[in-house]
Amino acid sequence: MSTLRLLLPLAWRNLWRNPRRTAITILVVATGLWSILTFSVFLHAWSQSSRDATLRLMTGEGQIHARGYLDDPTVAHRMKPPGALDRVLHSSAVKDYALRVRIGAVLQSEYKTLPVTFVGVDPAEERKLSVLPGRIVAGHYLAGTDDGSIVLGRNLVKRLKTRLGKRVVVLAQDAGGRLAERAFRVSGIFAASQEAEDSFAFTGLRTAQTFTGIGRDVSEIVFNAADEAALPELVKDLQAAAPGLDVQSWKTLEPLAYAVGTFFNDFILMWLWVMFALMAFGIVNTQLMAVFERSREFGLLRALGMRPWAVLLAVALEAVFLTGAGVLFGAALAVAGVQAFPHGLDLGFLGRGAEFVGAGRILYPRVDAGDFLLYSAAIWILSVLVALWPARRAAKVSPVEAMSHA
Amino acid sequence: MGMTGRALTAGVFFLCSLSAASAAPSADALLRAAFDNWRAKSSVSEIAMTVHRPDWERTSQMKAWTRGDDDALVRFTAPAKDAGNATLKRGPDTWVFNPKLNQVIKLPASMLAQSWMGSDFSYNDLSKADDVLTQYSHRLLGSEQAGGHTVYAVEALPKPAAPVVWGKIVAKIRDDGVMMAETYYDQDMKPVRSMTTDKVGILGGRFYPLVMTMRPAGEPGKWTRIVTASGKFDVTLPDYLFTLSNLQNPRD
Amino acid sequence: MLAALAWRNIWRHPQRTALSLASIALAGAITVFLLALQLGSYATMKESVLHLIDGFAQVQPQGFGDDPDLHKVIAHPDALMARLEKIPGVTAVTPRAMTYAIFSNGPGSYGAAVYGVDPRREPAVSALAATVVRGRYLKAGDGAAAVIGAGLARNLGLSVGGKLTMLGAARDGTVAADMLTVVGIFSSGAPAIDRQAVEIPLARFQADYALDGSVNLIAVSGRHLGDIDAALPALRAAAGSLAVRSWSQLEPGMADAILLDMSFSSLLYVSLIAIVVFIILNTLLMSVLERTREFGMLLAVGMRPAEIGKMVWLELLFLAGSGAALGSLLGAGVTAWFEKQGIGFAGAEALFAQWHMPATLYPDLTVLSALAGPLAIALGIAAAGLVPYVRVRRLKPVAAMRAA
Repeated sequence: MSTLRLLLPLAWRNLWRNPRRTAITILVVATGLWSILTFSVFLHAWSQSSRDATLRLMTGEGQIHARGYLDDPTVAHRMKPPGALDRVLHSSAVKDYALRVRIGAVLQSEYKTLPVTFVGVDPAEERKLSVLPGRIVAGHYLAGTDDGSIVLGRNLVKRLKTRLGKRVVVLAQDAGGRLAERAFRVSGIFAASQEAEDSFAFTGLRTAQTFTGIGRDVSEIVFNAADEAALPELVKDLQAAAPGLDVQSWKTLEPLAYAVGTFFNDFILMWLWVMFALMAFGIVNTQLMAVFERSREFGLLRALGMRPWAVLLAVALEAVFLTGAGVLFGAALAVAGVQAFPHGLDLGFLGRGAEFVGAGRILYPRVDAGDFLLYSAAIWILSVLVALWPARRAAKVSPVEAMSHA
Repeated sequence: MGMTGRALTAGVFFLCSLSAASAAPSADALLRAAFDNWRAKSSVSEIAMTVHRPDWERTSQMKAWTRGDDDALVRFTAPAKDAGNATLKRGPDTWVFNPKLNQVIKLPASMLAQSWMGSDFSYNDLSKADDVLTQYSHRLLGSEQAGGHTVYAVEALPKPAAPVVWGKIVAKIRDDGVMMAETYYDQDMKPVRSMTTDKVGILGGRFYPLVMTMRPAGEPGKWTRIVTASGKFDVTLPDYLFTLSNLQNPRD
Repeated sequence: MLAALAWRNIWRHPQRTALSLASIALAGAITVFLLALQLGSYATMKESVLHLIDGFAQVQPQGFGDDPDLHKVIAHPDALMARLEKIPGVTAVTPRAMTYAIFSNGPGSYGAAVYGVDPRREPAVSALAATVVRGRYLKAGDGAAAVIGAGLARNLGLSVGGKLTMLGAARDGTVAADMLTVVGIFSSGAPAIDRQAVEIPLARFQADYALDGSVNLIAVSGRHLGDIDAALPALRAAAGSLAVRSWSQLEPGMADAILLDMSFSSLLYVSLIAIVVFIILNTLLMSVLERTREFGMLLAVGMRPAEIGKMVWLELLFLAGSGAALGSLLGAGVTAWFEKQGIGFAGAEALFAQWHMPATLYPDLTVLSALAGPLAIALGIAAAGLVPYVRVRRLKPVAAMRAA
């Protein structure tokens, strides 16, 4: 105890005897931790952004359909709006949901006829679930469920040789299995990936329902969960509330996106291990340098009667202070870095053109308290241990030999 | 001339113009007349269709029955490869029959824009031929004299909510109801394709566009020609003719 | 002489030098491995997607890619295929014809894409054959046979042995009609394909659609996508007036996604290298600065500050250079070993099997991946090494000799 009282101030003062060494060590530890934390934050944000690019296009986190719809996306497989489902959809487990008519159809202009997925939406609800309403480059998005105009993708407009304000005709199968056709004026053009631009055509929900003669029925309900982690349970609840319908999460609806996401998470882990190894090495290097050059000092202390374990303790205390400061500094910087992007970081400047990216790839870095504490503790403990190892050797060497060290 | 002379001349002119005004038919009437001339209440005809492309040309023969504006049956009789193939249109639905498969198949919406038998007509064109009557509002543009007849130009503009892609259709109709030309324009009023009548003759007791050619605009080597060899109009057609069973097992 | 001095200085403190060398080498090796792994996984992803149906490149009539049409044909495919097969890197070549037709089984009818394929050659280029879940794929000698997607099978209520009616438009304008027997049902995992694709033997397709021996495209494959990319000039020469579409034209969406991913990763690598350089530099700086007394002495005996600065800089350069070289070798060695072995992603295996993507990744060791990282680190250190150079230049002899 008395030793501790002696050693603590000694340790503290030792730190300031060589400010340069102290500064460098703190800097190295801080940089090491900061980079691991920042990489972790941004890699996860990137992975999330990739996922969102798919989910916030048209998929959402989950969808409900009539059985058989996914094989044959026509109004032959439609469902009545939720009755039993209503309760679950309005519960706190669901953040947003929207009704859609979504069928395979044919779009005709004076020059070309092309297949398309024809979607009748509620614009207000759709905005919460999809980025497309915000990706209008000409004209405007739909005004309401009664909007009788059509919103098309830029590339589709080009291929059809049509234009904003011109008329196109949609042909689709109606509720009676017969051909229904209606003229639509192009009121808006959206930009996204070429595939999305070629695939989707939007109109008001009620317009689509009237057009296909399905009354108030819909093709699909798309929903987002309030809590991502609770998605599987939500899907189960929804399925239980509507046993005759087909409820799926995005993982089975977009299996490729899911596979790529899982893949990438493994990658992230690997990156972080690599960073950790590199940082550890750097810290080890620094500590070793520091200890080696103090051999004479340790020799002197030993000659003055300090016992080996005390020397070790002194070094340990120094390391705790030093690396502790570095860890705090690094963690604080990392947190500050995340706070610097309250609205996310827009990666538009990267891709060849932000449009193809669709979601305008924005990264939303988030501090994960658990991860932060884990990494900080790991680096701290590592740094202290690393300082101890060479110190142990130095402390054991005979004083005379140590002091003769240049 | 003198005042009396001038007044008389003016009076004569006035009378002439009155009669001229009452002689010009309405645009609606003209188009209706053209359709009645072309299809009447019912018709049976034999037609040869030639499809011409820059590197090949094919001619096929067919027999066609129409009833009103809604029902039509077309059955190919030559060449051998095409013989037996038939298309039935009843109201909004279209079916095709193939003798090799011996099956009747309902045409799904996705195939409607596909070309009919390789020609410049699509299945949609066949089933919506009367669109120009029902989905457009009509206006008389003017008239000219040709070959001893007055040919009227009628402009058809799509009605407000009509499910048609064209910007306008301009039809040239002869005073006896023979359709001389039909040009389809896009919504910028550029011509996209046109059907012209190359020969008019007597058929089934009336003047008839015997040879008609459909040409896409700007593609000189591509056209489809319809030559009507024989035709009977306003005949009584049995009801079984426009049924699916008849499509598959012809009793015609 | 400065160089000799610099070199000896490094080895005066063997342990310290060894440690610094080791950190630079390790950092270099890691960047080599990571970059190779990243490039390798892009290659794997591309190959998996392209291998499903597209092939690694395609020879097509001009204008076919933007507007596919049965009428756009390659008239004499055999001679062309023989030429293509001779190109080094090409291991498989297969002809295809395609159009859109109506398929029915009784009352319901659906539009779908129909492909005429050569059953002997096709499996070498397209993995679709391997995704057959019921029945079998097409084989040589098949006549009126078809394989259809699982979604289409469900819609039509067809199973293996069922009869499928096909109705379309032949090239000469006549009706193409045929009755086929379903010999196999495939499940590729891509719903769009499973719902809307049918494959029949090429000979049958050509007969039905009056193609007279011609085809619409020729798909080409090799052992690795890189082989085919390298062979593109030769492919173009052999194709003459026909168009050759490379992988990025066949799958532009994937090309864009990879580009975006690479851009982001470049940011990561640059940051990684910057941080590594920063950390290593700090330790080097530390050891340099504690030699102030030594420098003071050198100044006293007449060495000019600029020379000392250069000497120090050279030491850094030797350290960085040797470390980077070592790292490059080490990294290349480890990467090459894994390139043979592959790296398994255990958790993802079941998932990847469904998508016909191997759960094993092969890092791609190239000149780029072997050198880029270590070189960047060495250059970074060399550049940042100007800091101690500047500081050393400003030393005054007496003050320096009295430093702690």
